[in-house]
Amino acid sequence: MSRIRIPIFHRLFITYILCSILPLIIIGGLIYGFSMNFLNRTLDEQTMNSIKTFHEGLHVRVSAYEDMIIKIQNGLKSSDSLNLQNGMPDDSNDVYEILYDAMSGESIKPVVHVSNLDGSRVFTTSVFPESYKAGLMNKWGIFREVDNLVMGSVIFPQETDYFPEGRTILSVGSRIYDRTGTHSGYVVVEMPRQVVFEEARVFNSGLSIHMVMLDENGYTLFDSINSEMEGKFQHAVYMDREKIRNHKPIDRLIGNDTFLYLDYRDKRLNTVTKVNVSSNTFHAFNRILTLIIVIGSMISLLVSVVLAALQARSISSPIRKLIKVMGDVEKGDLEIRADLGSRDEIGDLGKYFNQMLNRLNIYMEKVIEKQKQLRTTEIKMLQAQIKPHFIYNTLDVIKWSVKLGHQEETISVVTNLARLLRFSIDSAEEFLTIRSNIEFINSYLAIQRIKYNNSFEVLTDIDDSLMDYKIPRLILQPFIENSIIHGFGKTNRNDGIIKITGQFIHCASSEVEGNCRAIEFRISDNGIGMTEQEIEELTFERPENHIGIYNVDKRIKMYFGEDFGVSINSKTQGTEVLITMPSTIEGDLL
Amino acid sequence: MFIISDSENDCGGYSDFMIGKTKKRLVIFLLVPVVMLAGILLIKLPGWDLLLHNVSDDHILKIHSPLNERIIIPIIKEFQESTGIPVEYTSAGTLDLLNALEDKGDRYLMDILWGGSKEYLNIYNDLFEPIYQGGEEEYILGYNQLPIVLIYNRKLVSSDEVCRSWSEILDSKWKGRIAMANPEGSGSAYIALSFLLEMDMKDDYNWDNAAKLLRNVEGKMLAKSSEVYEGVAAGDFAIGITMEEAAINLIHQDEDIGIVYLEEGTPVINDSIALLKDAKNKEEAMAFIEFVLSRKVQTYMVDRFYLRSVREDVKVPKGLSSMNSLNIFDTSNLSTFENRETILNKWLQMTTDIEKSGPMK
Repeated sequence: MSRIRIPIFHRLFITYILCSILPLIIIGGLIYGFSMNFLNRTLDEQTMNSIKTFHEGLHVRVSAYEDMIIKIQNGLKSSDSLNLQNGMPDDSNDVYEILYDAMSGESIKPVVHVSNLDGSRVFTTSVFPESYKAGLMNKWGIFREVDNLVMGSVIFPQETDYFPEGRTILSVGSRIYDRTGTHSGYVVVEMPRQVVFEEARVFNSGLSIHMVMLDENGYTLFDSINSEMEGKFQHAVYMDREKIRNHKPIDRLIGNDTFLYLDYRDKRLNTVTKVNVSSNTFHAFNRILTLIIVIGSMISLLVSVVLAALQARSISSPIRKLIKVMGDVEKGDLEIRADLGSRDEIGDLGKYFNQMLNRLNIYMEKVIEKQKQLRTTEIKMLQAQIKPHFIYNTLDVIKWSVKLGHQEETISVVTNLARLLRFSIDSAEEFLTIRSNIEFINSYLAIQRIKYNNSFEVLTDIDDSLMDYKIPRLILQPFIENSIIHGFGKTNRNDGIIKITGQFIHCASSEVEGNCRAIEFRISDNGIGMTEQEIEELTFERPENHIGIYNVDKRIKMYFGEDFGVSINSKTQGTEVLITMPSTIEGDLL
Repeated sequence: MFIISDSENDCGGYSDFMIGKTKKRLVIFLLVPVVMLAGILLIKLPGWDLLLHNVSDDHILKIHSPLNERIIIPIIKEFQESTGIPVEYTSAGTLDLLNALEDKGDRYLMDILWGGSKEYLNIYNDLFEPIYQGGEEEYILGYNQLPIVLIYNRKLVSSDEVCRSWSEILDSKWKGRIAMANPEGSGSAYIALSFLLEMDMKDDYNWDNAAKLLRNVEGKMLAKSSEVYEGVAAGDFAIGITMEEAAINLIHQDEDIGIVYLEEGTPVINDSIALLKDAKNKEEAMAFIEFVLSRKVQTYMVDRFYLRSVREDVKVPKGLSSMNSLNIFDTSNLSTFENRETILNKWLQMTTDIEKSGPMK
């Protein structure tokens, strides 16, 4: 199974973001849920308590009305005014006195009706409603209920309109007995809407509350918002559009706005109170909480994106840098250093890597130094190989010149030898200009000419522009010497020609492209030439006789690499030597 | 050396892998309950239980009625309180209800249709369940009677001056002074129109009468029956054609209103009650029908709303004379109920013609 390569930056970045966002979302969600739940429960309890307090208040009122009824019943027991016989004095003032006396404790006066059985004698603090007139005769409504109950009073929810007193919403009724204990009439005390309104003030908790009070069949007694619903059934259905619009049962108003919907059944009053706490507060709270969570998430996302990017970069970028540096080192660049710019473990990693590189460099330098030393020693040794050989030969010439008494020649040889020796002793430099080399060769040739009785001729054709380029010393001389000694020396010819040419060529080196120019020297003679075997020996072995030629090739290769060096091309008639070197003025190619 | 180190690496790699896996599992085991908890908390928010809460419609007696809610509410309230049967009523105009009956097909709409003229309902007899009343099978039971009368504002018209007959209503002197509801929407207005169309009828309906009536109302008919008696009581109109019940209510409210039973005859709307064939709550429906026809409710309606009872043992509403003393016109003789659509179309045509011709001279 191949694994997907996820860069450390992305992994860190995503992890940081998740770590900063997830807890916020989880905690935010939890807080949201908990606070909503808490709010819900608190408001539920609070509203339920309000409803209970409201009903307790109503109960107190109803109890007061019941006391009032008992007072009226007691007061009317001794009165005949309900069934006034002809001739009896009209004592309605006394009856009213009883009524108002009984009502005296109430701040909001209830509507009180007292009537006889058929409604022909009525005492009322307001107007005796039409519905009661018809109701009395047909034992309708509250009178039916009162008739079904012998003792005590009936609480009957009903809405009645009075002018100008306003509506009443609950009636408490009872029978009236005369002194003989016969049922002689009814007393009804009605609770004004104002009382309910006052008691409903317990709901004023700043919440938007819609409260309705219904009887058990859904008949509306009180509606805190849509008072036109009072006296109507909640579940009426209409077809007329206007009526549908005006019909506002509380159940239909429950919707998205609803936060709490409570039902409370009052068994004493036979009413159902429904409270719809609309969710203005809830929505506001909800919105604020959501806003806080969302904005918080956004901000923390933003911050965490930035921080995560910075942090992830601060970890991944030094690592990447280190990887790049390592790559460069792997390619061979040992001078590069990792600059991670951090002080933590990764910084340490970079530091130790750098230290390791330093160490490596020191080792390398040591190794190179050693190699250099080795090479210098070798070169010196190789150079040293030339000198005694040549000097030995020259001294031989001088010996013969002196023996033969060739004074001038001797002087010339000695002068040139002195020049040669100075050339090699005085100058400690490895590299000399081609001009100096040519001068040296001329001195050398002057000696050799004398030695070989001018039996050869030297043609020099060297590009003038080459003259100032530097080449290692004693590069050309061994080949000239070789031509003279081996090419002509063993024959007794006196028409030997040595041709020395020097020019620029485009180098064959693949390493340095473009304007690479090399110097090529070509030294050819028309001597006896060399056999393949001789060339091979010269190239690969170290023959005692050709010590100089091997030496040159070895040196060039040491200085400039394997691309340069000496190649020998020999026929029976003459030998041609090609010497190639890179063109350099300063001479320190290494 | 190599072998040892290799095997060590393998072991390390394997155990790392195991740890990674168990860690992942641990994280998932921890995350899942947290997410679930958060979900539960969110779901437990208020409002959900409300959505799930459903009230069952079982055994709620469904009544459709064109009657005024003034009458419906006290009677239904008393019915519910004394029988304990829950009721849901639909209040709508007669024609809306008839249209609903027409369109209802196999759908269950209601148990009882309470109100509406017997003549109208007869058309839909096949939708109703027969009820046995006094040994006779009847589809539709009347429960009160509504004579069509002329009312006048005593302040605007003296009792000498007011018209006494249907033909006088058509006199041009009442032009613009008569209030009438649109026969398209009002049962009483339709019966009045029908009466005029059949008055002195020869081969065809007497469209001349209709034209005169239209001229007198100046092409403008009131949308609701209530606008007629309210308009007359308020003095907007001098006379109006409406139901006796409305007039006597106004009189008992001390409005200066007079009632005229027109000479040619007084058409009577027989307000009816019918049990639907597909009623779901037949027992409850029968209880309601019995309740409405009971002496107690009939008397209450007479006493409270001045409605004429169908019961022989219930007296006439206060301030009204008995039916026997009135020249009652039997509306079942009218052929206009079967031809309602053509008549109303023609009536509508006449109305628009008048509107096009501009104000009448």
